[in-house]
Amino acid sequence: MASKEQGHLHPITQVIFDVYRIFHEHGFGVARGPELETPYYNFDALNIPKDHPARDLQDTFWLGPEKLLRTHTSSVQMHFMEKHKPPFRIIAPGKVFRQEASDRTHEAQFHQVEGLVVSKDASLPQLIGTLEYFMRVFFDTDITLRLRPSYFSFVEPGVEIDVSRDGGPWIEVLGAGMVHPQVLKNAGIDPGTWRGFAFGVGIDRLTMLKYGVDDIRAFYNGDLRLVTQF
Amino acid sequence: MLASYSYQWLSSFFKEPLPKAEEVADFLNRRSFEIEKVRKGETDTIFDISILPDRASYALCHKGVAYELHAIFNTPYHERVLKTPTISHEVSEVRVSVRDGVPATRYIAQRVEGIALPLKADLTEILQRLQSINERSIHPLVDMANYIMFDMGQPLHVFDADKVDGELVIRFASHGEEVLLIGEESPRELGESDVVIADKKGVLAIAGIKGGARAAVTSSTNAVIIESANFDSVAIRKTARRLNLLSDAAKRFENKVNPFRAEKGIDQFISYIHHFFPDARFGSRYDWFPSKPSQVSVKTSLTLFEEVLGISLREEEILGILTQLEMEPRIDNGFVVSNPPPERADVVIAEDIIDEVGRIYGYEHVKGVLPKKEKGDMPLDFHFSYENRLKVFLIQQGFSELYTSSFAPEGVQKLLNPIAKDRAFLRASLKDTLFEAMVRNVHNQDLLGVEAIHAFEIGTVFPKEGEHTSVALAISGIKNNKLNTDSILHQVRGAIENTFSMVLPPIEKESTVKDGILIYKFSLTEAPKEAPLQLEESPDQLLSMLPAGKEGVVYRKPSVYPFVVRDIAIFVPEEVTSSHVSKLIMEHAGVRLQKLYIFDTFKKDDRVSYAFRLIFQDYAKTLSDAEVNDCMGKISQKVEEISGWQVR
Repeated sequence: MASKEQGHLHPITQVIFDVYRIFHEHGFGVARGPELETPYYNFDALNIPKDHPARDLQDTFWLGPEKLLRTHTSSVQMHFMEKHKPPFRIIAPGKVFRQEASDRTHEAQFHQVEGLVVSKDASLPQLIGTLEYFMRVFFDTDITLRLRPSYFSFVEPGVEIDVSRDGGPWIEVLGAGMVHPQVLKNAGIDPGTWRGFAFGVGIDRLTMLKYGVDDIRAFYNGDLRLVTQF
Repeated sequence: MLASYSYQWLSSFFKEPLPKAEEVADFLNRRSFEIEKVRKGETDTIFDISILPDRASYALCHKGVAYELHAIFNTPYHERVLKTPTISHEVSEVRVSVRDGVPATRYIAQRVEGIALPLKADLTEILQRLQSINERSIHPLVDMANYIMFDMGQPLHVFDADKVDGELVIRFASHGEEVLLIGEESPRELGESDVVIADKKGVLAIAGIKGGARAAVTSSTNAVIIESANFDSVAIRKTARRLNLLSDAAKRFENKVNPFRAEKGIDQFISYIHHFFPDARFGSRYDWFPSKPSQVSVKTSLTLFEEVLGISLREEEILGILTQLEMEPRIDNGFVVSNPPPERADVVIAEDIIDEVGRIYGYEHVKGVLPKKEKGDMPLDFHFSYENRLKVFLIQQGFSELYTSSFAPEGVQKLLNPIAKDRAFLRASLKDTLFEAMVRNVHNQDLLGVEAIHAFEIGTVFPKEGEHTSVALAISGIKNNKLNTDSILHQVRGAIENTFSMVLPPIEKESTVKDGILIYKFSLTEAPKEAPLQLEESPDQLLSMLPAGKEGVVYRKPSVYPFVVRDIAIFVPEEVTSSHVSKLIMEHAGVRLQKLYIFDTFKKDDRVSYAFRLIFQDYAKTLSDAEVNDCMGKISQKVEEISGWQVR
C-alpha cells in the first residue's frame, strides 16, 4: 500500500466525528444540505425577510439574485423538516461562508454544526442539558454554561451561550434558542402541538479551543504541518 | 449595530443613583444586550453595546437602554419636565403636502423664528454628552437635534426656513433627480423609489436619511422649519443601502421607529429651543398622521412559562416583571395578557413574552435537563456516512487529509461580491487548490519527515451548475521515481472500488501530473455502482470505523522561519540500536531540533552505521550556519566521547 504509516485526518473532520459520536449516543441523526442555497432556505424560511436589518447580521456571498453560499447550517433545518415528521432530533455539520475579511478568528469559509430537536416538550432546560452533555464529553472536563439574551430571527427566545471550562473564563461558543413558531409553520409543522430547540456551534471554534489552535486560517490552506499533528 | 452609551447620561433618567458602571454593564450583558466594551474615563464610563435588530427599534438611544435598566433594577424614573412655549400667531404654520402612496407614516413640521446666535444659555452639558459618545458639534440647533436622537431616539431635521421656497412636498424623486447633500462635493443621483422632501426648486433632503446643502442651517440662520417624521423602514433601508448613506437617522428608521415618538421628539426639541433661545417664536404645528398603529395585545398561557423556561414562577413574579417592562399585564382565565408599550415593536407573540420574563428574571436560573431519548432511530444522511467512511479508509491507506479553499481564481460559478480578485470563483474541481497545497507541502517534506507525500481532499466542487462532492488523491515524488506511484494509485483505486462498490474512472484521463505531483480525482456523487444513492444509512458501519477522538494533542504553530537540514552518519557497535543513538542526538541537539529521522542503515564487520537527517528551525528567527554547526558540533562531541562510537 501507499505507506506503512497511517495518514492523518484533518482536525475539523476529527471534531465532526466527535460531535457525531456524542450526539449519536443521545439519539441524534445526521442531516445534510447544499452549500449553494436559495435565499428562501438560508433566510426567508428562517424568518429573515428581505430588506430586513436581520439580513445584515450575516455578510453573504451572492452568485445571483436567487443563489448564494449558505451563511449558516441553519439552512438545513427547513430541508430536513420538509421531509420528516416530528418528533426528531438531528445534527447537521457542514461548511458555511461569510463575506468578511479574514483574520486569526475569522475566515470566509468555516464549519458549523446545527442541532435541531422538535418534540412535544422541547424546552430551554433541555437545550441547556443537551449542550452541557455535549460540551462535557467533548472537552472531557467540568463545564458551566451561561445564557445571555440574544437574537436570531429563527428562534424565540434566542440566546447566546458562553462556556466555562473547569471554572475558567467565559468563552462565547454558540447561539441557540427555541424554534420560532413561524419557522415550524413554514415547514408545515403545527406550533400548537410541537415545540423545538435549535443550536448552531462553530466547529472551528471548538477545534481551536480543544487543541489550542490560535489561527482559523491554518485549517484551510492545505498545510500538512497542521494536519500531521493530529 | 454597535452603539455607544454614556453612564452619566443613562443615570440622568433616574431619581436615585444607578449601581456602579461595572455592575450596570454586567447586568445589561446578562439581561439585555451584549456589551462589547466598557470604556472608563475620568468623569464618565462609556458602554459600547451591540444592539441587535429585534431591540434596535427602541434601544438605539439612551432612553431605550434606561428602559432596560428600569426593568432590571426596578428603579424609579426621574420625571423630566419640559417647558412648552406658547404658539405665536405671527409665525405662520408650515405648508406641507404629502403625496399619495409615499411610504411615510407621520410628518410633523413647525416653524420657529428669532433664533439668531449667539445662544443665551449654556449648551456645555449637551455638547459634553455628545462628545462622550464621539459626536462633534456642528451648529447649536443641529447639536440639540442630534442630542435628542441619541437621547430618546427620534431623528429630527432642521431646514433654514428662508431658503425653502414654497410648501414642503413629501414625494418620490423623479428619475435622475439630483441633490447636493450637506458636507458633500458632488450631487447624488436619485431614483423613482427614493423619498425626498422638496420645495419648488427641487430636493431639500432625502427623507429620513440626510439633509441637502441648500437649506442647511448656518451661523446666520434666523428662522427654521423643524421636522420630526416617520418613514417606512424598508423604503429607507433600500435607499440608504443603495446610496451607501448609512446615516444615524437611516439606521434608526430602517429598524422601525415608533411613530408616536415623533411628537415626543419635537416637544423636546422646541422646549430646548425655548430654553436656549428665549426670544424664539413658535408657529403652530403641522402634523400628518393618517393611521395610528393600534395597541398590540399579547396573550400568553401561564403554563407556557414553566414549559419553556423550566422555572416555576408565581403569578405575581410574572406580573411584576411585565409591569417593570411597562407591558400593563393582567391575568385573564389562565393567560397573562400584556400590552407592550408602542416602543416595543419586537414584542408580538407569546414566545416574546416568555423571553422578556425569562431574561429579566435571569436565564442563569434555568437549569439543564437532558431530554429523554425518543423511540425510533433518527436518519443518518447517506452522503455524510459514505464520505466519512471513505476518509477513514484513505487514512488507513496512508493518505492524510487536507482542506483547501472553496474559492479559486478560476472556475465556472462566479461570485458577485468576492473577497478578492484571486478568489472570485467557486472551485470547479479540487485539482488546482490541492496541487498548490501539495507544492507547499513538498517544500516542507524534510520537516514532515517523509520521502513522498500522500494526501487527499474530499469536498464540494461547483461545476457548471449546482454542486457535488469530489474526491482527489495527491501523491508527490513522481519525477524522482523513488516510488512507483502508478502502482500505488492502482492499488488504492482497486481497494476503493471493492470496499465502496464503486467504479472509478481510468487513471490516465482523470489525473494530472505536474512537478512530480500526481492528482487523481473522481466524483463521489456519481460513484456507487450497485447501491443507488439513498438518503439514509445505518450508523453502525460508520461508527465502527471512526477512530477515537484525539485527546491530549496540544497544537504547535509551525515556525514561519526557514528550516535547515543536516545529515549525520554514526558508526556504533552492532548491538547498539538506532533508537539509542537517536535518543543521544535528541538530548544534545538543543531545542531547535524539529525533526529527526533515520534514512539509512548498513552493517560493516561488527559495526553498524546509522544515517540520520536532522531538521533545525527556530520560532523567532532564521538560523545561521554557525548556529546549526554549533548544534551539530555538540552532537559529534558527545558521540566521540563514547568508546566505539564514531562520526563518519
